[in-house]
Amino acid sequence: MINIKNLNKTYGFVHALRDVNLHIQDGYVYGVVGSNGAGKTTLFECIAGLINYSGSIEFTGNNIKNQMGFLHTEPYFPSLITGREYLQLICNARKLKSVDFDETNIFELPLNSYVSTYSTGMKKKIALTGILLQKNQVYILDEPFNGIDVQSNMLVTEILLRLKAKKKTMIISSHILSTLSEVCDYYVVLKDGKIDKNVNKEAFQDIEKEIRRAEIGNKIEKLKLG
Amino acid sequence: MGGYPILNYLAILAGFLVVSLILYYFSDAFMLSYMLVALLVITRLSSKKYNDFLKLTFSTADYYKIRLAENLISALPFLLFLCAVGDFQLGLAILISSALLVFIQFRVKWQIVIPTPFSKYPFEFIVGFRVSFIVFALAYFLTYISIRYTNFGIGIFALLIVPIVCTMFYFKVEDVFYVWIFSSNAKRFLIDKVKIAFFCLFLLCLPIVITLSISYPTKIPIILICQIIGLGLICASVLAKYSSFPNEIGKREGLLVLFSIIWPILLFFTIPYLFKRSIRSLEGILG
Repeated sequence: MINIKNLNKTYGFVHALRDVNLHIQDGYVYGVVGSNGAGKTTLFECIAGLINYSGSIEFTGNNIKNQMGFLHTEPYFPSLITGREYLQLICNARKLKSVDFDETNIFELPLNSYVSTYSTGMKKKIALTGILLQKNQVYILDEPFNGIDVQSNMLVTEILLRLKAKKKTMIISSHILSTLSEVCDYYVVLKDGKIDKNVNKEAFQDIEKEIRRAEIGNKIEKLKLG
Repeated sequence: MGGYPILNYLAILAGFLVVSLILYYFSDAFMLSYMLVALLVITRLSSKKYNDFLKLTFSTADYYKIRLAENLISALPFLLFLCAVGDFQLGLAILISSALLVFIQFRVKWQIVIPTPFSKYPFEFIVGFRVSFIVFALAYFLTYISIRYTNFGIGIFALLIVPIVCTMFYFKVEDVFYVWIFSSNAKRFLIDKVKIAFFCLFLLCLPIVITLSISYPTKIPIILICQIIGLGLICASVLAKYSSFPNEIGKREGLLVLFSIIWPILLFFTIPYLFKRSIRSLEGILG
């Protein structure tokens, strides 16, 4: 279990997270939704311990960091490194030996090319492949569907469902609510750095309608489309 | 040493002069090799993407003026050196080539993957080797010159230049994610990083060490001392990288590595000091 109490994070004068309290249960999938700048990525980085914060984040079990996989919205890669070398680095970090990268290359990526020549979607896929190879217990996935093609979108959804069946804990953010609702057990709605709502599967449709209403509203009329 | 551009410039200038002098006095193919090096430097600004940006931003006349000025500035160190040694013919050839290269662009996208012997141990040596492989080729060439002209000093220079270049692989600090992913604690992480650096550096130096040892058997103790100094320097640079992590290398730590290159005896102080600082910086991330 991940227990988040009074979590606050500021960047200068900007309050990115305000008094966030959240219990993440083992083996469940949480969808974190909210508009751009709502604090989703900051929340994820705090949980992973990648940035400093005030408040507390407690984990049950020993050194959860070593069983946690983090997929960034825009994964960063060292320059002049190939896909294969990137996967080797990720596996070395967790002391995983003899992983067959060709066998596990389900996204059919050009592993012998520089990652810097990959498209946005390909970069996402290699980063995702890396954390899947690590066989983590907890997954934090920030926009896993961003930039990937339709076929891969289906594949990623299926991977998430398989991980869910294996009782992995997952915290996922996405703007594609239909995919999230297929995978998630809970929705956490973030608004201006605060938890606006924390609901289970039954309330998903209401939340989606509410988000649609709030995000679209009468904004399009303002464009006065011809 | 990202925060000390002046030191970088001085190091590049010193390296340029030393290599130019060695090539001039000892290489049989000075003209060809110097011309090649000069063209490699000048064509770095001939990428299509960069030129497209200039063309879109400036008028055609200004574009050609800018490109001509850039190429002449790039060629200037080579021209000054050639004027100093009185090789005006080669100087003129480089001058004309730099002007002609204004009209040539290359579609460079670094798609040719340069093979390295370090693929099992990403990533500093892999990236560093791909950026600096010409320097290593040059170091091996200088080792050949050292044997050919029976000049042990050039061989030792080649043996020392390799670790000095390799220390630069650790000057750029990686994203915190690439430390966070490791399941080791801070101490284990550092020890593993240093072990990998030792192995990779040893691999790069091995051809020089073997060649010099065979050619100058009486100088083996000096060769070994130089190799040990090289290993000490790479150890110090690995530790310096993480001494202020996730921030860039601090001024004090950067200077310590620099002074250790000049006075290697300092390594006895630098290494334990940087080790302690790195442990403190990494504990918050790795535990």
